[in-house]
Amino acid sequence: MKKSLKQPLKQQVQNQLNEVQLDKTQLAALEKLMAGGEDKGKKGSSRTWIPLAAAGMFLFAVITAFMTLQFSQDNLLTMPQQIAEEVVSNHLKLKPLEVKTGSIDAVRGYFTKLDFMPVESSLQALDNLQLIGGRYCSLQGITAAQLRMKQGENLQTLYETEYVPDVFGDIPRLEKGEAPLVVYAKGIKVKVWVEKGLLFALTDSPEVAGGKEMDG
Amino acid sequence: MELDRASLNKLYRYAYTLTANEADAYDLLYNAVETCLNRPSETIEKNIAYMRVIMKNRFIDDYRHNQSFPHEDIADHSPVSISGSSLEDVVIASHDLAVLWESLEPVDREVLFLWAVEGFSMREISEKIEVSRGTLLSRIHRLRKRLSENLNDRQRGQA
Repeated sequence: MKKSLKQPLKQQVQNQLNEVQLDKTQLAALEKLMAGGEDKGKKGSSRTWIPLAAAGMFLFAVITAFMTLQFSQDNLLTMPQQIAEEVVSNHLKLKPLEVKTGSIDAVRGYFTKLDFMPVESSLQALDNLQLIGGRYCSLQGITAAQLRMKQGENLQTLYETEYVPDVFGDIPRLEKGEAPLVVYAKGIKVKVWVEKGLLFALTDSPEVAGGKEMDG
Repeated sequence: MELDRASLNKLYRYAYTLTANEADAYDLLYNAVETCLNRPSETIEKNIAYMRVIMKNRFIDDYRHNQSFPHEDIADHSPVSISGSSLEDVVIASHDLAVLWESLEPVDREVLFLWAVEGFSMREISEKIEVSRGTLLSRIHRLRKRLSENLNDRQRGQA
C-alpha cells in the first residue's frame, strides 16, 4: 500500500479542508437563493418615496398589522396545517438525498440514529410510489425520516416520525379505519395520518419534476 | 445579499468542519443563507460572521448540545503547563487525518479549523468557541494525546 507523506498537522488540515468544495449545482442553488433575496432588497431601495406616500404606507402597515394580529389570534394555524407547511416547504427545496435506494430495508439500515424504525405504510395512495431515498429531517422539532418517492416523472415527499400526541395532537389513525387528514399548504395537497405508532405526512404535488433533483 | 463563491466555499468548509458530512454541511449552509436573507447586514464580513453563528447554533440544536459540545470544564483536571502551540509540532499523514477526522468531536474539529485555516490565536479561538483559555489548552492537550494514541494504534494494527 502506498504510504502518504507526513506533514505538519496544520498543513494537512488546510489541505483536507481545501478539498471540500461546493459543486456547481450547489453553488448555483445558493446564488439563486441569494439573488432572490437581493431582488427583494433592490425593489425596496430603488423606490423613491415622497413623505406623504411614506406616511400613508406606514399608516396602512400599522392598520394591516393590527388587523392581521386580531385575525391570527382567532385563526391560529392548526397542528396539521403547521405539519403541512413544514413538509411542503422542505418538499419544494428538494435537498440532496443522504441515502439513495429503492429498498425500505436499506433505508432502515441508514436511519440508525432515529428513535423509531421507518416502515411501509398500508395507505393505498403509496401503491404507485417508488422509494428512491431519504435524508434526516425534523418535523415540529422531532427528528424524522424524510423519504423521497417517485411517481412517474414527479417526486413526492413522505415524512415519517414518532407519533407524539402531546406535540402533534389528535391525528386520524389508519388502524381505526379513519381516513388521513387532507391539508393544503402553498397549493400542495398533504395527507397526514398515524399508523403503526408513527406519524406520516405525504405530499401530492403534480408540479415537481424529477429533473430538478439535486445530486449534491 | 452578495457572497462570492470563495466566501460560500469558506462557509461550506466551516459547516463541514462541524458536521464531518458534506450533505449535512450543505444543508446547514443553505439554511444559514435563508436565515441571513431575512436579516442581511450591511457588510459581507458581518454576513459571513452571522452565518457562522447561525450554522453553529443550528448544528448544536440538531445534534444535541451535550453530546457534541460538552460543557465540562476540564481546566481543573489538566496539566499545569500546556504550551499554546502544542499542535504546531504534530505531524500526520493525510490519510491518517482523513480517517481520524470523522471520529473527532465537532468542537475539536472546529478548533482545528479556526487554528489551521483561519489562523486564529489560542486567545481568539477561546473567545470564538466561548471557553476559557485554560479549557481550550486542556482540550488541545487531549486532542494531541488522542491523535498520538490513534496513530500508534493504527501503526500497531498495520504491523
